[in-house]
Amino acid sequence: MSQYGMQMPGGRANRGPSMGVIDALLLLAIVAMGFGCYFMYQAAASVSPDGQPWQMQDNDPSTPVVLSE
Amino acid sequence: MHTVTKFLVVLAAVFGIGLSSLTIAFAINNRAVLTDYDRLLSANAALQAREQEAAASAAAEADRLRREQDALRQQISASEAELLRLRGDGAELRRDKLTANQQVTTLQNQISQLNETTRMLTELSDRFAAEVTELRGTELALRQNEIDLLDRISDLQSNNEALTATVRGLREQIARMENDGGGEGEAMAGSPDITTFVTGMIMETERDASGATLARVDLGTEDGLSRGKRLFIIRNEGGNRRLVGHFNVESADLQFAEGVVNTLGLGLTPQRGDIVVSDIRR
Repeated sequence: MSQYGMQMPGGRANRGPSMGVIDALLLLAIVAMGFGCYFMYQAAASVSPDGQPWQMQDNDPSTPVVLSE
Repeated sequence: MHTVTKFLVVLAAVFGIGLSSLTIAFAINNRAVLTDYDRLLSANAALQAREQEAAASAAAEADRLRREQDALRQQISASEAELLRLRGDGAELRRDKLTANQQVTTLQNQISQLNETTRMLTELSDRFAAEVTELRGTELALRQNEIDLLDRISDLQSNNEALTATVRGLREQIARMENDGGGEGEAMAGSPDITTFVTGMIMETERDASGATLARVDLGTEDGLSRGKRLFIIRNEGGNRRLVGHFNVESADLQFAEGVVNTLGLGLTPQRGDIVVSDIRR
C-alpha cells in the first residue's frame, strides 16, 4: 500500500526518494543532448544567413542563399 | 520523485526542445542551401556548355582569323612588292618628268626665240611690203621712163635709118663720081660692096665648144657685109697697128654681123674693141 502513500502501522519508517538507474540514464541523455545541441548549433549557424541558428533562408529560388562568414 | 530527478527531467526537456528547434532550423536552411546548390550546379553546367560552345566558336573564329591573317600577310607581301614596283615606276616617272620639264624649258626658250624671230620677220615683212610698195612706184615711174625712152629710141632709129639711107646715097654718089672722074678701079654699081672700105669694131667675143673663137662686129649688110666675106682684125697698141687675124662672116644682119675668127697662128686673141677693116692697106 506504500505505492498509494499509505502508512501501515509497524511498517518501516517512510524514507525519501533515492537516485536510481533512471536518473543515471536521464543524466546521460542530458549530456548527450547537450553535445548534440552544441554541434547542431554550430551546424545551424553555419547554414543560417547571419550566423543565427534560428534565422531562416529566403524561400525565393531566384535569389541565392546567404551564408554567414 | 527526487528533486534532482525533476531537475534533470526539466533540463532534458529544455535540451530536447532546443535540439529539436536547432534540427528543424538546420534542416530548413540546409534544404534551401541544397536547392540553391542545385540551381548553381545547373547554372554552372549551362555556363560550361556555353563556355564550350564559345570556345568552339572562338576556335573557329581564331582559325578563320588565322586564315585571314595569312591571306592578309600574302596581300601585304604582294602589296609591298607592288609598292616597290610602283616606287620604281615613280622614280622613273619623276626622271621623265624632270626630262620633260627640261624639254619644256628648252621648248619655251625656242618658242620665245621663234616669237622674237616672228616679230622680227613681221617687222621685216612690213618693211619689205613698204619697200615693195615704194619700189613698185619707182618701177612704174621707171617703166614710164622706159616707155618714153623707147619712144625716143624709136624716133632716133627712124632718124638713124633716114640718115643711114642718106649716107648710103651719098657714098653711092661719091663712088659714082669717083668712077666717073678718075676712071680707076673696078666698076662698082648697085649696092655697096665689101670692096668699099669700111671700118668697125668687135662688140663681143666668145669661144664655142670646138675651140673656135666667135665674134660680133658692128658692121652689117648696110655696110656691104654678107656670108663668106672676110675682114681684117687690127689692134691698135700705142699707135702701132698689129694684125690679129681674119674675121670670116657667117651671118649678117642689117647693122651687125657674126663670124669666126682665124688667128692665122699669130698668137693673139681677138677681144672687144679690136678694129675690123675691109682693106688693110688703108
